[in-house]
Amino acid sequence: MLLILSALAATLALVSTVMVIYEKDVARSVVLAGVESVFYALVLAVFLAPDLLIAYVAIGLGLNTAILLYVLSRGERYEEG
Amino acid sequence: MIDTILFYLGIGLLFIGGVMDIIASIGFFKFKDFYTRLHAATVGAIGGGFYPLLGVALAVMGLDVDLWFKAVFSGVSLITAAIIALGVPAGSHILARSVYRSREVEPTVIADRLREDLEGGGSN
Amino acid sequence: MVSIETILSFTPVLAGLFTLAMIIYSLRVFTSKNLGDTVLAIDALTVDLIVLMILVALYYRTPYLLIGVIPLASWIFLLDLIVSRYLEKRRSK
Repeated sequence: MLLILSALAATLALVSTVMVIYEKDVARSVVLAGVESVFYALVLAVFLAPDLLIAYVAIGLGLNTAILLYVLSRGERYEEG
Repeated sequence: MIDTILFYLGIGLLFIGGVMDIIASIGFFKFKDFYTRLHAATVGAIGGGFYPLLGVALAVMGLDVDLWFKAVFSGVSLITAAIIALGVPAGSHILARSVYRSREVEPTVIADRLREDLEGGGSN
Repeated sequence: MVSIETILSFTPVLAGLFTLAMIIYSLRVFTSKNLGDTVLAIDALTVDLIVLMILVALYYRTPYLLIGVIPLASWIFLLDLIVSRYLEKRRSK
């Protein structure tokens, strides 16, 4: 049961990573990069790795989103296709 | 006796939370506007997160395990429930305010008095 | 006293309910059009994943997996604050 759950979460993380690449709105792609880290946190909880989990939550979610959105507030939001 | 009552009360709260979570996720597709989707977000946060965490805290108290196991599970569940019940409504409120003021989404209404006040008053 | 093996018969059904909700929420996240809808769906998705993570820890019977639950719950409020500050700063420019 838990292997099916972790397989679903890893597949959704892969879909999220592909959507980050093809997204024209840069602010949405920064937020979608956080979703990928949330799914990886669930996969690491199933695989019994609490140390990697706390590192993912602290760096991949908090620091990444805050710094990238702060930088983006000085620049252009939509990239040219 | 009281342990059995606590355990099945917690399992019942968990089932209610799962059903309300599915209802809220369908509601995200049924509503057509951003400002009406805030209702579905509140159902998903309070009904799908607050009640199941209380259910876990009640169900663990009725189990036949050591005291520290009960204390850790119940304490973490209650603290997380308090953070969710205080944080998510405040967060969705501030998100709706900033989305309205930055014209990210325009509301579909007939007359918009707040926008007229903000435009007419000069600096807001 | 209720034995701890009793809760193991309820855990797969509960995890199935919350996993179905997780799939529908992530479809909403991937198909939304603007930034406000995305952040609103991510809030509900993260609350769902917190409950799922506590059920996983209850299935393994170890409390050490609960270390990431409280930071994940604080991140919801932090994301709302960061995104709304970004939108307000873009308006004033």
